[in-house]
Order: sequence, then C-alpha cells, then structure tokens
Amino acid sequence: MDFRKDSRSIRLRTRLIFYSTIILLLVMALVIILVEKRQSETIHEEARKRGITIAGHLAAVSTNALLTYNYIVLKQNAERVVLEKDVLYVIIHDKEDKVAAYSQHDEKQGMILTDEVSQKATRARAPLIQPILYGEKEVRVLDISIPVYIKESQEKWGTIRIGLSLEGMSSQILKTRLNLLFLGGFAIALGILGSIFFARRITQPISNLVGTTIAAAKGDLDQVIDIHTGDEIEELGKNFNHMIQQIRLHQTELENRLREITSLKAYTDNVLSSMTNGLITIDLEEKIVTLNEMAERILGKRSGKIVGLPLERVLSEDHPLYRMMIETLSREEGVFRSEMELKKDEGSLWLTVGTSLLTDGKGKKLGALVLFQDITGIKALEEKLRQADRLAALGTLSAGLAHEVKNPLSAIKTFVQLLPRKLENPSFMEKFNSTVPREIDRINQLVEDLLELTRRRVHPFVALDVNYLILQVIDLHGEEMEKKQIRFEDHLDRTIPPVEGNSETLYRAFSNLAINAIQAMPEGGSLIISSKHDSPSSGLQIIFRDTGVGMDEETSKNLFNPFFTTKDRGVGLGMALTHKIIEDHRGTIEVMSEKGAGTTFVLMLPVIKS
Amino acid sequence: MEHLSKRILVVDDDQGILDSFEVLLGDRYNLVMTDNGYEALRIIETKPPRLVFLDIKMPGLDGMDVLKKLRKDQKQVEVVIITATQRDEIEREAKSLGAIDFLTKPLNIVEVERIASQILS
Repeated sequence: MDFRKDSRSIRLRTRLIFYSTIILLLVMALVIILVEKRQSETIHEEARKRGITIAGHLAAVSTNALLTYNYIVLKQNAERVVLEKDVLYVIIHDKEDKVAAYSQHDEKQGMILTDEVSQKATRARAPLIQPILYGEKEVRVLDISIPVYIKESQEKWGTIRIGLSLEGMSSQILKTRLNLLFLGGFAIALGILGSIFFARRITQPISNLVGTTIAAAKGDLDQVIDIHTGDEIEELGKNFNHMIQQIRLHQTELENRLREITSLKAYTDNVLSSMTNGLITIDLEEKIVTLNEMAERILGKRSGKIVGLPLERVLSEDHPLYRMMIETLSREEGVFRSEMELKKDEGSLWLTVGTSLLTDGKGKKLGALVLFQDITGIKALEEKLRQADRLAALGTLSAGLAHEVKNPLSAIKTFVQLLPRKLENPSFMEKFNSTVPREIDRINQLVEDLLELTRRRVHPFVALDVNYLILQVIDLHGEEMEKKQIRFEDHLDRTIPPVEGNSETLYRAFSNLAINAIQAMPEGGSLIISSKHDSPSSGLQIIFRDTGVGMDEETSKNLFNPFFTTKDRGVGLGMALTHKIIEDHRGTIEVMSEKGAGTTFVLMLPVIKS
Repeated sequence: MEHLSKRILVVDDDQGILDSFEVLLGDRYNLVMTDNGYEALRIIETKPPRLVFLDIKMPGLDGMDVLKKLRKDQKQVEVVIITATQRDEIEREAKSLGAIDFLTKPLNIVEVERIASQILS
C-alpha cells in the first residue's frame, strides 16, 4: 500500500485559514454595516433636532414680528440665523404664506413660493421636515418648517423654514465609513494573521502526527511522537505512540514466530530428506502433499515437480501403494504389510509398507500417509542367512549323524574283522550274535528316525487313551528304572477324554520323554507323570517331570534340534522326533528345566470333540 | 606290578565300542571299562592302568576334561584318544595335553592291537 499525503485534499491549515477568514469578513461586514447605519441614523437625528431647535428658536424670536408684519426684524432674524453653521437658507412666511424674509434673497420678499416643498411647508399645521436637493449643485438639504401660533389662538401666523445642509453630516458619515473600513480592514488583516498563526499552532502537531503515521505505515516503527499541546492532539499522539509500541511488540513476536516456523520447516525438511524411509502424504483429493527424497529414489520417480499432482498419475491405478493409500482413506485406518513386492524391469523391489490416516489435532481427516522401507537388501541377506542356516543345520545334522553312525559301525567293523580269527571261539560268537545285530539295528533305527523326522504325517489317526500308552511306556522301562532307583509317581487322571492320534508314534514320543528322564537321574529320583483335562474347550495336558540333573538354558533351548550337542551332553534324534510327533498331532510341547532341579515337559494334545 | 603293567582302561559311553574292545583285547590284557569320565579318573587313581583308550564326547566329564586332569595331576599313563569326529584342532589339543595317539572310529583293529602291544610289551 502506498502511504502519502493525498495531493487532491485541501490541507487542513488552508481550510482553517479560509473558513476563519470568511467568518471574520462576514462578522466585520456586519459590524461595519450596523455601526454605519447606527451612526448615520444618529447623525440624521442630530441634524433634525438641531434644525428644529434653530427653527423653534427663530420662531420664538420672530412671533411678534410676524404679528406686526415687521419685515425688517424678520429679515434681520433670517440673516442672523443663516449665519449658523450648515444653515443654507432661512425663509419666513407670513400669515398669507408670502415670503416675509428670505436670507440673501431679498428679491423674493412678498412672493408666494409655488414649488412643492414650499407649498407643503406652508400648508403644514405641525413641524415638517422634507429632505430636498437644493440649488444648482443639488446639495442634500433638510427643509424644516415650523408653523407659528400664538398661545391663546389656533390661528397660524406664519411659517418658519430653514434649510439645513446635510453636506457636513454626509462628510462626517463618509469619514466615519472610511474610519470603519480602515478599522475593519485592519481588524480583518489582524484576524487573518491570527487565524494563520492559530491554524499553524493547531495543525503543526497534526502535520507531525500525519508525517509520523505515514512513516510508520511505510514500516518505520521507530517513530515517537513528541507533542505537548496539552489537548486532544497530545492525547492522540500518546495513543499513537502506545499503538506503535504494541505494533512493534506484535511485529517482533511475529518475526520470532516466523523465524521459529522457518527453522522448524527447515528442520522438518531436513528430517524428511535425511530419512532412510520413503514418505508420501496425500490430501483428501488424493493429491501429493509430501514426497521425500527417499520415496523418489525408491520409486524411481524423478520427474521434477511431483508435489500437487494426483497420486494416481504419479504411480498408477493398480500400483499397490496407491491402492493402500485409497484403502486407508476409505476405511479411515492404517494398513500394514511387512513385505510387499514391486515388480520392476531390473528385478523385484521389496518394501515394508505402513499407511496411516493423517488427521489434525482434533481428529479431522486431512489425508493419508504412507511410509515404506526398501528391504530388498535385507531380503537378499535373509535369503543368504537362511541358506547359511540350512548349511549349518545340515552340518550339525551330518556331524551328529556321523557320530551316531560311527560308534555302531566301529563295533560292527571290529567284530567282522575278528570273525575269521575267532570263528571257532564260542564266547566270541555269542558276543558277536548279540552285538552285531544290535549295532546294525541302531544304525537302522537312526535311519528310520531320520526318515520319520522328515516325513510328512502318513500314519492313520484313531481315538487313543493317552493314559494307557503312558503306562505301557513305564512298564517297558520299569526294570531299568528300578535298577537306577527311579520311582514312578502316577498322577494320571483316569477320566480324561481320548485324543485322536497314532499309537505307534505317540508311544515313541512318550518313550523318548521317559528315556530322557531316566538318563537325567543317574543317581535315582522320581518321574512324575500327570494328565488332566480342565475344560471342554482346552486340550489335554500331559506333564513329564523328573527330579534329575536338569539342563542349562542353552541345552533346554536347543533340546528339540536334531543332534544338538553341548559339552555336557549330546542328544540324538529322540527329542527332535518327539517334538515332530507332538506337532503332527496338532499339539505343543514345552520344556522347563533348571540345572540341578530337574526338568519338566508340558504337552498339550487336542481331544476328540464329543 | 606285573599285574598292573597289563592293565588297559577303556572309557567310552557307547556299549558297542566297549564290547569291541572286550572281544579285541580282553583275552590278552587286563581290561577295565567304564562309560564316564568320573569313573575313569577314579579307576586311574585307585588301579592305575598303563594305557587308556579315551573317548572324547561323553556326558558329564568328557575325554578332554579327563586328559586335562591327568596332565594336571602328572599321572604317568599313556592315553590314546578314540573319537567319532576327526577334527584337527581336537587332535592338536589332545596331543598337546600328552595323548600319544589319536584314533578315529570306526577303529582299525590292527592299529589298536599294535598300540596295545607297543605300550604293554
């Protein structure tokens, strides 16, 4: 905005001077007119009074002369009176209206004057004043006539006329007018000067105020108005100063806020561009609001200005990211996919993608946000790791297998190598017959176990009594347990429902658990086996608990891995197989163990729904 | 001493291996057998043999632990390692601990007989 004085506007000072001058002129004109009129009237009145007085006086001294027609006295009286100031003529008419005396006009004595003024004067029964123009010069004159009566009679004895010149009076009036005009002009000049002075005094602070406001409006807020007029203008100045101060405060605050916002924006931009995740936000019209550098890089979109374009145009209608965003907007909740494959020319791009609804602080929907991470590298690494794991597992398996096979193999080899030499030795042959088939069976069992471990479930499932199987296992190992002073504690619930399973494999699983317990108690102890079924919805719980040596954490953690071996012990395939059998039965098996305190296996098997 | 000089201790947790040694050497030497390390140390302490065939992988005290203990106690006994897993570092360690030989399973009976006769002759 352009802040300056409007050139078309008339300045306040000019206006003040103009109006005050007009008022002054009007007042002065009115004063002059009134004074002049009043003075003229006074002068006229004075003239009339003087005229009447002179005429009256002349009448008084001329009454006897009129009664007696003494024209000489009348003539003397007239000539004496005409000497009076401003008296131009004196005419004395006798009873018959003839001229008895006429100052300086003796020739008119005895004549009857026929002019209209004389006629009116002689006919008048009361004093009469007639303004006339007298003589060739047409001097303004008051013709004052007074009829002369005797006291006791109503009869008129004559008329006294004097012509009183108004020239003196006129010049006096003129002089008065000139004086008035001069005085008036002086007063007006003085008034104009005064009004200019006062207008300056009034408008100077206003001018300052205006100048300051213009400077302030142009942005210079370091303005302070210093006016001490003690009136509204000073108050205005103070208020303005206060206002400027407030504006300055607000401006500083705004500048600070702006700086904060700018730095916050820069910070946010830095965060966005430094992010290792791709981020895209869209508004409710599906137009892109944010798309950070990583998003550009991951999506391979580098076509300059993307912000503001509809997402559909930047990606495509069937792009999974686009579909997730639209789903988020319509369902008003985020979508997460831990792995998403994007087919690209140079191979697949794997992303972890999460979307969320973008809302303001009050929960109003603003748009949607998608955050994604390129996990292609991680996927490749995972694949490598899986391969390494497979190889490691294979290594463990091979080593375990080698160990397990080599012992019986060694025994068989020894017996076979000795056979030719000791064929005739009956005790050797006896030992041969018991050992070699046993060792061959061990190898065979190992192969069978290995096959079983990798085989998909093929055994038919039937309804089984778990308690019965467990008791059979205990019966089989009874002799060994007795030898090792291991006591069996029967906590089997005889009311449990049957489970669906394969008796052969389940028997092996239970047997393996029993063997594990027996091996864990070389110094004797207790094997406590319980079974229970708490509620129709839950499975059947079977617990094998021993009071043996227990296992450390690493062993119990790896117990179900085939051929897992620690310094303390090696497990063959038994526990791995047990785990597999229970899983085949859609059950679970967990192990809890503490070194020196024994081991507990908790099995859950689904029951047959009645 | 004559009696002791023929004594061989076999330590292995596998019954098949123990049976093999019995038929191979039992008729010529005084064989003592056990399936664990603790028992082995006890036997070496009470009835010291001239030769010990020692398995590495056993529950509880394994072969390497037994060997270390013998070394520590400065027992004058010849130890031959018998193991199913041939690993160079195990062999090196066993030999550094004083084992005179390192046999891998399946065992060669000729070698076993040779070692026994060498030590006990």
